[in-house]
Formats: sequence, C-alpha cells, structure tokens
Amino acid sequence: MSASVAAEGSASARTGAWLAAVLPPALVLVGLFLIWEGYVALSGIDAVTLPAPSRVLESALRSRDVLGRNALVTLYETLAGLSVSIVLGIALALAIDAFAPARRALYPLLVGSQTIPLVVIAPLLVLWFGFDLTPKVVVVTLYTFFPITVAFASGLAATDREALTLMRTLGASRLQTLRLLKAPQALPYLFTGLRIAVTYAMVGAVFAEWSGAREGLGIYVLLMKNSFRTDLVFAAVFLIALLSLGLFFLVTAVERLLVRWR
Amino acid sequence: MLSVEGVAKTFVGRRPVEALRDVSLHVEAGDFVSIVGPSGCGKSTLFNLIAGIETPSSGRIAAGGETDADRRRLSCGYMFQKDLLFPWRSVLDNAALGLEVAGVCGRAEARSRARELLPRFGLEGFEGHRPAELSGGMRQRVALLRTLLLKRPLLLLDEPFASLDALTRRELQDWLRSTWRTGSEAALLVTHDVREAIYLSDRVYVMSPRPGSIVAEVAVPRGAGGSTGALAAAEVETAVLRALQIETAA
Repeated sequence: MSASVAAEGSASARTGAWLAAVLPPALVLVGLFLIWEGYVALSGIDAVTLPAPSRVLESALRSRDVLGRNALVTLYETLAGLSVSIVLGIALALAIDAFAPARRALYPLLVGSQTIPLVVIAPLLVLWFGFDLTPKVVVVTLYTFFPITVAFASGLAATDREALTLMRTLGASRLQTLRLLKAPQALPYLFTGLRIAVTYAMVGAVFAEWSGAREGLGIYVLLMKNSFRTDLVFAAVFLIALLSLGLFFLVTAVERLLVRWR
Repeated sequence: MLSVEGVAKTFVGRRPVEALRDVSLHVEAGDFVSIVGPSGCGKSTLFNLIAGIETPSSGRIAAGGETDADRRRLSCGYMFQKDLLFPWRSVLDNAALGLEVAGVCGRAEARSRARELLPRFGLEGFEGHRPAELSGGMRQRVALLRTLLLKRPLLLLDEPFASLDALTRRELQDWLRSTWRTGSEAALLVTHDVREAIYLSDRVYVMSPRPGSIVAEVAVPRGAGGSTGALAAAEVETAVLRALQIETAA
C-alpha cells in the first residue's frame, strides 16, 4: 500500500515538474507573439515583408492540406535518416569500443566528417542521387550520426571497472559483458546523443530538400518565398519547429520507458 | 582447497610498485580463513591473483586443484567490497546474474534457483525491487547470493562489510557464519577489522605493509558449539595486533 501511495505521489510530482518545465517557455512565446502582432498592427508594415502571427496562423489553416502533405514527406525523410544514423552510430560506437585500432582510425575521420560544409555537399548529392529519398537520408545521416556515435562510445567507455572485473570473475565472455553490463549502462548516454541528433535531423532534411526535391517542407518554403507568400514561409518554419520538438519529446518518452532505473 | 606458494607481484610501469613479496598460505576444505593487514598492503591484489584476474610475477597458486588462471577463476566465488548490483536489474535478476552468465541453466531456471534461496537471505518479498530501493545490508546480501548460487568451491570475500554500519555489519557477520557453507567448501576473507577476522575464522593470517607478505599465522581456538570464549578471543586479538605491530593498552 505504501508503495502505491509513493507512486501516486511521484506521479503528481511529475505532473508538477512537467508544468514547471512547459509553462515558462510557453508564456515567453505568447509574449513574443503579442509583441510581434502589436508591432505589425502599429507600424503598418506590409504583409510580404512581415506578416502578423494571426495572419500566419490563418494562412496555415487554409493551406493545411498542402502543409500536411509536405510535412509528411519531410518527416518520413527525417525518420529514415535518423534510423540509418542510429544503426550506423551504434555500430561505429561498438567498433570504437571493441578495438583500440578502430578508435585510432575512426575518431579523426568522424570529427573530420563534421567539418564538411553541407551547403556545398548537398547540391552534389542531388546531382549523384537525384531528387528522391537518397540524398535527404544521406544529409540527415551526416548531420546526426556523430552525436549518437560519440555519446554511445563514451557511455560504453564509462563502464565501472570493478563491474567489469565482476563479469570476469563470473566467467562472462566479451559478448555477455557487452549485452549484460556495458550496453545497458550506456543506454542513458545513447539517449543523450539521440536527443541532440533529433534536434538537428529535421533541419537536415529541410536543407536537403532546399537543394532539390519534388515535395517536402524545404522545397515548399523555397516555392512560397519565390511567390512572395511570406506568411506560408513562416507557417512552414513553425511547423518544422513543432515537429522537431515533437521528435525530441518522443525520444524523451522512449527513454523514460527503457531507462526506468534512473 | 587453496595453496599459494611464494607468490610475488610487482606492477611494472614508469615507477614499478612491489605489491606482494613471497606470500605463502593455504586453506583446507571446510576452513574459514582470514587475512588481516593495514590498508594498501596488497590484500586485494592477492585476491585478484588467486581469482586469476591478474598474473603473479612469480610463485604458484592452486585453487580447487586448478593452477591455470582461467580455470582457477571458475573455482572462485569472488565477493567485492562494493555490491556491484546492476541498477537496471531487479533483486532476483541480480542474484541470478552469475548463473545466467555461466550458462549452466536457462534464465528461467536461474531465476527459480535464486528465488528458492531468497528467504534464507532475508530477501523474501523483495525479488522485484531495484537495488536502489534496498538498504546497504540487503544489497550486500543480494551480492552474496549472486556469488553463492554459483556453488564455486572457494569463496573469496574482499572486505564485504567495510561500507556497512556497525550494527548491520555484526548482523551480517552472524548470518554469514551460518550461511556461507550453502554454496562453498572454504572461505577466505580479507579485512582490516581484527575482531571480524577472529569472530568469523578458524585461522588468521597477518600481512605486513607494502610490499605485503605474511608475518604471522594465528589459530582461533573454538570451544563447544563453535564459539570462542571472551578470554581466548582477547588472547588471539593480542597476538594478531602484536603481529600488526600495534601497541595495545597495557
């Protein structure tokens, strides 16, 4: 009984903590929108240069079908790229952890890969892979595999030395040690990397679309800008931010589910 | 059960450290033997050598009839000062970890063997709890259960009660005295608590500061019922402390 009381207590505490986390940024956001709205109304600035937030919302609702269809494309590309990143990141981290030569060979290359200016590479990728899914997945992967790899590798390296000795005295093989000790204890690190990765991921997909695509929020933004629909540019930008935030909270929720001991 | 003959260990490096010098000791089946020594005398190093985690610079070690380090490792049940329970595993799964790793039985069988012993370890009703929800004494009992379930002939106890409060420690000492035979045939305890050593063991080895070597071997007389009289215990304590070169009051 005392356990259930404690659980209820922590549940309401969690709701409180959630409110405390969400309320302040929400209030700041509402404040900023009000200032923006007021400025547009008072200055009489023309809507192509700076549309009022109310107008952005109105246009967004009117174009919700087109926005939704493009958002789905971008979301799909983002998730595909992230999936590749997760698999690649975990594989690289395992290789780095297992073999010292792999660490020496791969680390400089990994860091080097992050210095590639994607602005320059993205058009080339379109040239090589066409207007379809592939170049987007490549760009998203290039943006996101690095934090996943580094975070998971440091998690694996942070395993308690005495716990490793314990596994040896139990007669554990390297694979058992990885499966039963190192991987579970590196899981929170992996999620830290993943949270960083998802905040970049959608921007990567949008950017890749910008360089050449048939559908997606990136190409939509470009088209709307060229036809002076600043209101819809803003609508798409807000949608990208909202979806990224959603991905972030999704990762946090999965972490809560899998990392229960923290 | 265990024989250590002329074992020395020097850690090589930029500044070599001589940890152990000419250590010899033996433990027979049925024995509970303690090693007492000052901090940093190489007690843990000696255990790592016995358990085949590290290799001695010279000398010979045989545990459970095995001299090969890898086989020796499997005849030693090693219990550490820290409980080293995995926070993501329940009490039951932590206790079953050793069996699961050894692969002697499936995971379900490992859990059921662990569950059988929970009452004797005072852990009944806690099988689903996480280690973080237990007291220090309970966590050490889970760690001991994890060790004993493997039924390795030689139990190695590296200051297992050092981090516990005095009351819990005494309680666990009592309990260990009646429990350790469930899985093992002989036990070797490292401690810097002289009274703990006398209370638990048949014989006490005294180690010198680094480089550690055995400077005395003191037998603990046992009366009827296996207990040691207060007078006899005091005599043994004096002998051990003298060997440790600690001045006792008058």
